[in-house]
Amino acid sequence: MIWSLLYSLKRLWRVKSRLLIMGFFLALGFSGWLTGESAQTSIKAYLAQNAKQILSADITVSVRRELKPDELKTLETLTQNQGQLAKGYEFFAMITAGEDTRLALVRVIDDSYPYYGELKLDSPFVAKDLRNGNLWAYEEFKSLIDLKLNQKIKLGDSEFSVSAFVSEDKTQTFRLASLAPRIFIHLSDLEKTNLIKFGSTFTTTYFLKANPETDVEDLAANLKKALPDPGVDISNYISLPDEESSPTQRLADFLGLTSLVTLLFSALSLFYLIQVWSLEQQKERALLSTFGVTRFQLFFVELVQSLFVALTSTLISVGVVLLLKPIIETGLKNWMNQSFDLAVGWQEILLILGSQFILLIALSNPFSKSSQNSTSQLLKNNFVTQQSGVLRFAPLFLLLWPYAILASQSLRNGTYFFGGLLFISLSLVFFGRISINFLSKLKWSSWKSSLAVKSLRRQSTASWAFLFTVGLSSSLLNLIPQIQSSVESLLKFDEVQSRPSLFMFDIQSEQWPDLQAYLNEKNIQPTATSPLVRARILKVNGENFERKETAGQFQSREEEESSRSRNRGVNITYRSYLQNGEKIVSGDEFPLTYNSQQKYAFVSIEKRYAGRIGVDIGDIITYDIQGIEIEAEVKNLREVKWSRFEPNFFVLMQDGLLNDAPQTILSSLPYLDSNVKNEAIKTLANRFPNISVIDVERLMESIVQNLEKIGGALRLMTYLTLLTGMMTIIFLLSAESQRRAFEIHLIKILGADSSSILTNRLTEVLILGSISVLVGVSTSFAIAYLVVDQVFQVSFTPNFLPAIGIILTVLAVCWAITSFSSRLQLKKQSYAFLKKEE
Amino acid sequence: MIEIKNLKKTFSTRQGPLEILKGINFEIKKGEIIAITGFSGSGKSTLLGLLAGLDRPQSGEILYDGKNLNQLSEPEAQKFRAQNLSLIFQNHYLIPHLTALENVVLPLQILGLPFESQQAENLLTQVGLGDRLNHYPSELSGGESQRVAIARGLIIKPLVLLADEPTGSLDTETGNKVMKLYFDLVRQNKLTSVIVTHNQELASLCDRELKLSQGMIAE
Repeated sequence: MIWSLLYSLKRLWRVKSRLLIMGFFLALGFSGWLTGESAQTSIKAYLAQNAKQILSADITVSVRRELKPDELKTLETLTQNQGQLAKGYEFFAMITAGEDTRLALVRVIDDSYPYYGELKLDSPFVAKDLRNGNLWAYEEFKSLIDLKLNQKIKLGDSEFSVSAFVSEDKTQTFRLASLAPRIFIHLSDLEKTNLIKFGSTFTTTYFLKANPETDVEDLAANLKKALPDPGVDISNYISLPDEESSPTQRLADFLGLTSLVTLLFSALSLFYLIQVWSLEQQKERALLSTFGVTRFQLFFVELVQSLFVALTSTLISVGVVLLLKPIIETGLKNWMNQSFDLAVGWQEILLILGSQFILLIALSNPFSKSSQNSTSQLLKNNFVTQQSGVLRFAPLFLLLWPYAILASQSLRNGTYFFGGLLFISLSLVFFGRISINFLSKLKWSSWKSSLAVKSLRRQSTASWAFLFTVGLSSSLLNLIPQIQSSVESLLKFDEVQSRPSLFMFDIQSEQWPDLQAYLNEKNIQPTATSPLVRARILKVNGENFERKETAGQFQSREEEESSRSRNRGVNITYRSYLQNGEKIVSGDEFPLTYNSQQKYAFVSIEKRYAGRIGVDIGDIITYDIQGIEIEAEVKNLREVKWSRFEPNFFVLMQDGLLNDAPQTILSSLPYLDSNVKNEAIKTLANRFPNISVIDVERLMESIVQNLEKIGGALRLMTYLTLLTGMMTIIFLLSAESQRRAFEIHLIKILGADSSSILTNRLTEVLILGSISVLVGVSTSFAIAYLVVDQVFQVSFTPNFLPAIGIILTVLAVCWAITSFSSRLQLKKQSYAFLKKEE
Repeated sequence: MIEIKNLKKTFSTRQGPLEILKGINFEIKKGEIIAITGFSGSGKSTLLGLLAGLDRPQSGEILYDGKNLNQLSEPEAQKFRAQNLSLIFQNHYLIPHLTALENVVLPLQILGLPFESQQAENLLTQVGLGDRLNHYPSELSGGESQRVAIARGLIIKPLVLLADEPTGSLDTETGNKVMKLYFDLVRQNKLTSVIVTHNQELASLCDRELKLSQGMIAE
């Protein structure tokens, strides 16, 4: 053992520069990972620390209706002596200020709100009393409708005065799509607005500030048991409600996933580096084994070396992250409107140290004994027979899968991410093989090209390492601009024209004739008018459909989504036709009109929603619709294009059964000229104050703006990926020239002039570079198409400019590095070089 | 055929200039096989590098049929070397991703000479590797690899075959076999050859032995 340690230390000193290079490349990848990890940890820590503020209470009980008297009694009984209880509402409504009308998210609060967190008002001198017709508004209204302090605004049937602007709301978290900014009114002023009545869409929330001695989780669990309706949502700050934290966490998860790519590049470089230096190392091992050194001792030497590299790399990685800290913190603040303290904790440091150590050991595989390189062969020859083939990279990719799942905390997202990388890699393997095989079948008149193609075909490990690195880098680099350009195309005029201009909800049935008359008068034809019937699921196949309980935090995002879908009521529509954006994807079509002879009514369920609530074709669902039980059979599953911004529903029932049920109406107005649109908004707000109107174009703008913010986060990771990718490519190319030095000098001695040798090297690198970058960029178009189509549900608009830029840049880098490093080699004395090699 | 006149070569070292060859003079006749022997560091390999035109002396002349190699420009020297001289190393130096046959035809391809692969196949058959044409260097033994290197040296039909410790990495028996083959082929093709070696047995098989000692020829 002592010998091993002494030998390890001596060896460390001898190959220190080499190990430092390895440490540098390892650090390059792990810096990205550590950045992603620490951003993720900081965001999660922020959410945990601010859970009470976000919830603004210890426990909240929310329901999209008023609590029934018995439910309220249960709530009051259970919370008696447990703390203070306050009531609030939230709903959308139109506000009119002067000539402008806008949708607002109205939060109705009492004096005690918020129990935790803070609503920062813009001036300490403003009247903070909300009673008596006062209103606080988000500052966004200043720019949206030029709202001023003390200005009168109309909300429902009542008039309010703006007594303060809210400059910071700690109860609000980052959201991708915010339909409208918030306003706050007092509970005592709600009634006169006349906005909450039958059919209105609103949420009633009870906020509980628990006594210090109250066991919050225990009380929340008791409330869940006592209020069994899954539509009643009970949240506590310890398990933060997912709707609040989810978008922010997902962004953090995505950052984590992107940073894994830099890790992959780093591993590829390292793998290649180990290959390049493996001859000497294997020779040394072979020599030591002839002296009787055991495999365990050799392994020990490897351990010490790996530990040294991992430590060096960890130090560099931490240094890089600390350098990037201010940039990332500013970025996060910009994207999420909240300050984050990016901390690199011991946990992360130990995690990357451990991961690097394991990675190094796995890559160098000190226990392996190559069957093709016996000890005697190793000592005699000047080259190692490399196990050829792409399968050498398989462990690297397989390691990435669990990491991706861990980083995204989602089997589905992690697997999608891994699947994407696998798709790119398999495409590279497939097209790479086909192209190289094709090229090698051609008859090359020039030895330079012929040798280049043979080299590509036969030096597979080096070729594949290069192909993967360049291909994956190019693909990832092109992916983000492609997705971005397609999403931005939502704002293009023809796209805007194909969508409705206004989306109206909470229309009372009795208002519909008047509304239609007004629209007829203005010659506007409403589209996709749909009734909305509120219901809740009682049973599925006779089994009670219960609230989904989990102990503590959700284990995965899928669990979280499923729980959210179950623990909420459901809106059902009925129609005798399918809309343009709807398509049946499985099951049978059914007559869209109900026949009283049917045993069950037929329903069509949106495919993803069906998955989340766990129902399938043939299942019988019992709905409670205003106290009446209705049984329905799931006849088919539908896909719905939500991005059309038309009234769409998870559940579509046959026409004829629910027509007399209490209902409201949703409708949309087709593309309108902006003057007509503004006038319509104003008139609707005046004549039908309870109807909420969403300006679809404005909503799209807000989504794109938020996407732009997320794009910023992604771009930072992309730049880091780009840097790692480029460094990896540059390193691979120069290492390849070094590895091929022997060949360069031999060919020179055999009579080739320098320019021919350079042409040979460039031909080889540019062929491989072209295959990699073309396949990489093409696969990114395919992946971008899928993401845009499936996630954003918009038509894919390819943007060829960044793709061309990436192709040219990568090829230019290949050319420049190969020329430079080959020229350096060619300047050396070939004979002296080869003699030295002996 | 080859005349070496007052050849000097000095290397710069941290301790100052180191004179490796101190004015060497000798001649080699056409078809002659010369052994250059000497202790390690005596300048044998340096001399071979100069003869091959891969390095330039400080002074002196290397004349091939009267043509002074040192007066040729770099491209001319490179062309002359490629067409007239072949080198065989102690470590065979075959390109690992080319087969035996491909390694042998490579010099012809580089020179842009028309060739039939039959030519290379015949040579490989002559060196006893007719059945190993498509084998990679990793699939050949040290002796076999050296025989491929000899075939590669012969393929361009050089004026002079220069060999640097050609048996240095082979065991005695294999070395003897390879060198017997080497001598047979050189004589059969009426080639001139210079062999750098410290193997006395090998040197004794050559037509003449030139001993290098302290930078001078001690014949």
